[in-house]
Amino acid sequence: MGGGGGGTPANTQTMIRYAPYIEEKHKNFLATIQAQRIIAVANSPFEDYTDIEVDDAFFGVGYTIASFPSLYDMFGKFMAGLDIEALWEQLYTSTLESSAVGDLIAAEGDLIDDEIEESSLPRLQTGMRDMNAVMSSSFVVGKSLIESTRTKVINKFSADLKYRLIPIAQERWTTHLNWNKLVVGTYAEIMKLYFSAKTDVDEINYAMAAKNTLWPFTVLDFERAALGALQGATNQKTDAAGASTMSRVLSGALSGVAMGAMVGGQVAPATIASTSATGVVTPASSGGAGYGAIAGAAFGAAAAYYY
Amino acid sequence: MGSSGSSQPEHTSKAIRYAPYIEEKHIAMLSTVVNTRKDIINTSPYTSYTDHDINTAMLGIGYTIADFPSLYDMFGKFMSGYNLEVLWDTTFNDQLQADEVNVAIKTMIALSDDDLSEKSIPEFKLHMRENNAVSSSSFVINKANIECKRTKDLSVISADAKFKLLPNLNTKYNTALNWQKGVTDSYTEIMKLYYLSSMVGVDADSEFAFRNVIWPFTVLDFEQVVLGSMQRSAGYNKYVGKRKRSDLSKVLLVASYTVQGASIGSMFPGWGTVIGAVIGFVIGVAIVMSE
Repeated sequence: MGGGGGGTPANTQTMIRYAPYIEEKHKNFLATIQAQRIIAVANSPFEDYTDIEVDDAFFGVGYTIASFPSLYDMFGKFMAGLDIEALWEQLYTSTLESSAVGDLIAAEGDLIDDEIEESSLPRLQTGMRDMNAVMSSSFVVGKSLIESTRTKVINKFSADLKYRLIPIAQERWTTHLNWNKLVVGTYAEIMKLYFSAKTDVDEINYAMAAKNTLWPFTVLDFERAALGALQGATNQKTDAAGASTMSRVLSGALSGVAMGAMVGGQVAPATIASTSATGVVTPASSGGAGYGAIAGAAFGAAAAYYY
Repeated sequence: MGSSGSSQPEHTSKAIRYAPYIEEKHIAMLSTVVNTRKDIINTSPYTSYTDHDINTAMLGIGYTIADFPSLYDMFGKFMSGYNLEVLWDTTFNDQLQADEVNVAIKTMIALSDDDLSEKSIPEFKLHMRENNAVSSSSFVINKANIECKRTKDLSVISADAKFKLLPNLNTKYNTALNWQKGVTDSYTEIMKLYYLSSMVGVDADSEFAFRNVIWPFTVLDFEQVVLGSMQRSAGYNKYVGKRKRSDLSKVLLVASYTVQGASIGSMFPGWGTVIGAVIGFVIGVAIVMSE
């Protein structure tokens, strides 16, 4: 080692060797890995992945969320900008004065007319004919009595019907307001679902694209680990590069929303709570479970976020 | 090694060796591993895996989700664009103008007619005859009055029958509106389920495809570990990994289930909210503990 009298240190390299049998096995092992790598690199399992589509399902082919009214627009139309007095007048009028009500009163008149013509008048006329009194003034008076009664009972029916329809108009108004609130709430829920689904689906679509793009490196990672096998190197991942895990999908915002928003509101219970002697319908209160659903959804989404 | 004045690096070789019996056993183990690897490297257990067919199950063969009405379309049809006036008129006519109502009224008045013609009018005629008043105007007027009373009875029967149906108006109206909302809710739930299932299915499919492609490397991993088994750090990968939920996430998850339980329970008056919250809390804790 070293020349005589030289001041510079000797330039040395240390080669770490292993027992010949290990080096031979390692060499064979690397050849095998290389052969498998060549096959695997060209065979990405993510190449055929087709993106999951969200917008078509939510909005229809060719439409985007911008093609529909904004949430604030819907809120303004169905709630904040709604003239509830005008709605009351409209519903009051349409409940008491609608063509359906007019038709019902007319039908009542027809029913009574039929009965008078088919039963009452023939009975009266037959009796009068038998006693030769058809031409008498009494017969005319009798007939007019029947007609007068007809007019009175129809008017009574009409007035009574409209009086009984007033509380029904009131409940209809309440139902209409609840309905408008539900429309806005449902629109908000649908929008929330859209963004949750879009976020989760984007994540998985892009994760698959990243996995496919990084696939050669995923495979080469095995070869890298094989090269350093004798130094104890291992490949650190058991998943493809660029991956998101299954748990991320299961605990994503979409499943959080699904868990939380499982309880929906209703306009009002389908069964009428009570009916008074005058036929006044007492509306039953609608449930407030929707608020709980929203809170549940928020907690569910937060739990997924902080997973 | 080396000569005087040379710039070439000096090579030192340091071979790591072990006791002969260890190397002998190592050779034997490597041979066994290699033979085993050759046997199984081409027999991936994942080749028989069949991809989830979510679309066929949920949408039908050959259909995609774009072939069905969009969620916004359904919302517009069943909720925001639904004509409540038309529904009210339909409900009103269905209830009060049904043919069965008039048939029932006519049946009732027919019973009254029987009584009239078999009892009231004969008795009236008999009394008039006994009073010799058949030819008088009183007879005519009174007979007309009998018919007037019949008309009034008919009106009472008709009104009674129809007014009893009035409470049904709001019942049917509300049921129809709840149904409209229920259709929208169900469609939303179905779509939610579709996307959750699709994502889980895609993740599972790609995971198994991935495992199938890397199967040779999975097998070779063990050989690699055996090659480096003399090194302390060598060890094969654990192919089962799981993320650990953060404490904050655990609390939020339990809170989520508690609130959901309370909201479901609130549909039942009284203690429903409390009982629902307790059940939700227990479920949440159980899920956190089982993860």
